[in-house]
Amino acid sequence: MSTPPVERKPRLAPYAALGAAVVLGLFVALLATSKGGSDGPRSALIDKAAPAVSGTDLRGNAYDLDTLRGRWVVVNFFSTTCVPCQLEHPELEKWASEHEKTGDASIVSVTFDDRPSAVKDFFEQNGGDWPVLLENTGPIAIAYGVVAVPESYLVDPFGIVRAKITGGVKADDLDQLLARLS
Amino acid sequence: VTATTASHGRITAARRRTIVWVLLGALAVALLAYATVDRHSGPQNNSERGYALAGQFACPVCQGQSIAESDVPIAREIKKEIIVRLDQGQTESQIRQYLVDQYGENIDYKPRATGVAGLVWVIPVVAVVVALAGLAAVFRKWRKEEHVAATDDDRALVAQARGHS
Repeated sequence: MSTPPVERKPRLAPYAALGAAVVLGLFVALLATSKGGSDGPRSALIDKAAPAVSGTDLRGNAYDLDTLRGRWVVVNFFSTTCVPCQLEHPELEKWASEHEKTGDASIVSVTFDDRPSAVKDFFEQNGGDWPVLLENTGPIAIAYGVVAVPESYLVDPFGIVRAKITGGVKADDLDQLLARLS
Repeated sequence: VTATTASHGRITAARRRTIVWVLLGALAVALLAYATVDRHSGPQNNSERGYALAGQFACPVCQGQSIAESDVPIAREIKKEIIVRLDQGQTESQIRQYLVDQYGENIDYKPRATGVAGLVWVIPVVAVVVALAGLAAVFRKWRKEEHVAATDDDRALVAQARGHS
């Protein structure tokens, strides 16, 4: 009697492994192309139109960023209770006075989670005569995607956000940035 | 007659199994539907809707906290802004888009359904379908093996083996 030919059973393992490899590959592709959890000082607003910054400033004057087309503007978000904000203040003052002479750039400060009286006292004690917005500033901060103060945004003469600076500014660094972006 | 009865019996058993599987499937779908239905729905004011919506966004400065849970200044401001926008009549998707535009996609706990990120939605479905198909193939194979009957050759082989022992 002849022995019947041995039938080879179809093997599932290679197909299962192939399926798992495809799923794993798709996950790797997904992770490789994602932007990651932190993108540092990069803002979603870079190269986009600057959100509106308007209101009444510390001295009761009306302020509107849109009226300042043709010059660079540093939109500075700060709080008097934050130490890096206190440390950057002299640098902002230095930069503001230098550019007041040339007329090519200016600063507007937007308070964040602060009391108007504290802000007034702070500017009286530490100087600085640029516009400072006090009231209803939360929506402005959100429009700029502010996470934690101090944060500053450099808006170009066409009203486009060109840079975001976190952790306090230095006058020289601001000038270098301006020279690079001009 | 016996064969016919047996045949009828097999059909009935197969049908019974099918009915059981259909009922199990229906039960699974019903349970899933029950679990996903919002039983707290009803008249909600914008503060409640805003708080619920804030829970769908990550606090930009906290680790593992939503905007609803966090009490840092920016989270408080965003919560306020969400409610203001709801009061203005904006839809939840408009508010979602606004926050993503200002803070980037990482703020949104809900991944996009388009582009490469859409794979997050597709891959689990594909994996489940492939797994179910694999299980179905294996079960079918096992069932076929159950019905293997000994042939005359097999019986002869066994008899021959017994004769030698």
